[in-house]
Amino acid sequence: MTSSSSASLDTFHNSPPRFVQQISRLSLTGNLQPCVVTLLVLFFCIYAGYRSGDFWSTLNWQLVVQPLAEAGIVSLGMMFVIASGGIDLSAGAIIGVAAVTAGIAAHHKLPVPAIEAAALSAGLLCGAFNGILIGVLRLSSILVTLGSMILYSGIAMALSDGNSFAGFPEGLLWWNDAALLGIPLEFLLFLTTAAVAAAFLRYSVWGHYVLAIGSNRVAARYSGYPVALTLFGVYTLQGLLCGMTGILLVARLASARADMGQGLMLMAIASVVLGGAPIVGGSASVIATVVGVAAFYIVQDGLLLLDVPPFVQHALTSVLLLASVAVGNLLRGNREGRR
Amino acid sequence: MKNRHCHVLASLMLLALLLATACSRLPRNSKTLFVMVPKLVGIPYFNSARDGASQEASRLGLHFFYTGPTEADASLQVDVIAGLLARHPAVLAVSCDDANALAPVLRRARRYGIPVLTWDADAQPDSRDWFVSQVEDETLGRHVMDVLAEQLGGRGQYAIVTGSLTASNLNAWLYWMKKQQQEKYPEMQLVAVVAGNDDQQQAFVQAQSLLQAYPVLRGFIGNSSAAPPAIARAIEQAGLAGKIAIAGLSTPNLMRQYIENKTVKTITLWDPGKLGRLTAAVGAMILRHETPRDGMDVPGVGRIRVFPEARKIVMGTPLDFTRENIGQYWF
Repeated sequence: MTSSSSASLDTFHNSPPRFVQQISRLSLTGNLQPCVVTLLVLFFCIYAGYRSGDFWSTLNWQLVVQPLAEAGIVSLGMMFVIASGGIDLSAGAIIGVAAVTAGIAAHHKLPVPAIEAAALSAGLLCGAFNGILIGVLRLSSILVTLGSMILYSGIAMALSDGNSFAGFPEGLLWWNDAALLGIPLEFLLFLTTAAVAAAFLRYSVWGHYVLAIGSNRVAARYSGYPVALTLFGVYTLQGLLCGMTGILLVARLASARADMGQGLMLMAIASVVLGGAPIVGGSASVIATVVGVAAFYIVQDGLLLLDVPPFVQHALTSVLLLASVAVGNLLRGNREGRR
Repeated sequence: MKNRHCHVLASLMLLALLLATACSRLPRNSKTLFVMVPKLVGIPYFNSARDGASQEASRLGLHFFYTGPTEADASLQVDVIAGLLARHPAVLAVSCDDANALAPVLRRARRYGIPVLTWDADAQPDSRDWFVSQVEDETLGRHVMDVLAEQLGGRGQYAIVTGSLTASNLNAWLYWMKKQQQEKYPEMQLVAVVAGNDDQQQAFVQAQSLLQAYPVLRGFIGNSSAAPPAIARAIEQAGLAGKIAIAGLSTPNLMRQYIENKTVKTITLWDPGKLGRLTAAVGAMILRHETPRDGMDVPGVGRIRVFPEARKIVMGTPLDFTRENIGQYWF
């Protein structure tokens, strides 16, 4: 599932035969970090299951996949942003804007589809604004999104006046309790989104452009790739996914607040990095991102069930992040040394 | 070769860390498990509530477990509670960061047959069995405004530094403070309400800029325990100690230095240790299928008021800390 643009850009020069590329993708350039993370998490699950009788209960997994799904959807958007060589610090604030928009729509007694459409378009607009500044005006993504983070959370705060909206219609809150064969619908929505994202990344020309821009923006521009349009798409998509997360959060918390997505922005960046994607861009993998975000939530939940004090939970979770990144780098270093 | 050693070593260290917690199986004590969730862990106020509750819980034979988010964030708190539901506690007691946001997860807990108490800060009434309240919002808000107005002689500009603009209990107190001022002290003027986000450094910066922005400011209200000490520090640094009045809600430990050097005359709160104790006592009553009665005497807490309609238990009246009595309190 790992896609890397280096191979595709090479086609402009003498590229090695296709089967060599494929083998190298599997073994040498393959990103081993998700495997390391998966192993660590599996080991942790066995340990947690041994120590706490509640860890492997159906209820526990039903409960843990819901916040995981929300963080996961933002992480998918963040994956595209990071793959394109950028970063989005405003993701949490966009979630806040989308949630508050849903709150206002519900306050005016709009029907459920209209509430959802309002939240999605609020997210989309915020993302598109970032996209114009970063893609078309070529401003640095960290500066733009730092600014828009403050702008969007200001807008959300002003729209809600610091209050939390309640009184959402049952049709919207339905997302929280709906399940198919015992699997929360939220989680299935996340898996579907991940599958679509994987297809986009792997098979669409847009996915190819994103990776090319991430690995070398100047080269991509000189190759005649539509850099501005592609980046506009990346940030707009991220906005849309934030809008989706906003709706899911509103449904689960039955309320909307300006500061709702606060923690999710860093969680999304950390998940992408934990999956082994280079923070400088040029490479992305949906499976790795899903592994990254799942690792965080499963480990945190397990530590909670193991009576580990909250601050120690954080410390141990960061140890997981640092250790995986370190091991991933060592493996990568080994490969480059060998080549 | 060297690199491989490095990463083997790194993995071993991680394993050691994970194993270091212990290898024994945790007992499944869900029949007597009393779980207490604060808005956030690691601040003296909630630590003191935890100590009170844990003492009372062990006296009453409950297994006490205390955990919560490390930041005051409603969605983080909901995630923590959702995780705890898998343990099926006998009683769940939550100090809610947001009355609306916590309601669905608490309702879900009740659906699973877990009795739910809210303490310190309430959730939507239909999402919990009982609310254990320190003091009525109205009594407290009006009282704090009276304390400030008395020092200002009922006139002049004042500003409020609150915790976060979204905390529902802080906003309720804020509402009654403003209302009391509008009704009883028309010559006082509120110039600004700013948020210090329960962080002393942020509150300090906010207080400093308020002092610069409003040169004739005569009083401050600190509406979350981190705010009054930060305001007092800002006033001392500006050389205005004794010239600007401070009222508000904070703990004796945080305010001791400022009350002893007379920068602050009076600070208001209640005893969170007692509140924790009462919460654990109510939890034990629920487990014994007893109903709290109005005016009943709870050991270590005193007479409580019970409102069966609102399913609310009120611990008592606000407590003012001054130079005379602050030595008796330690939290």
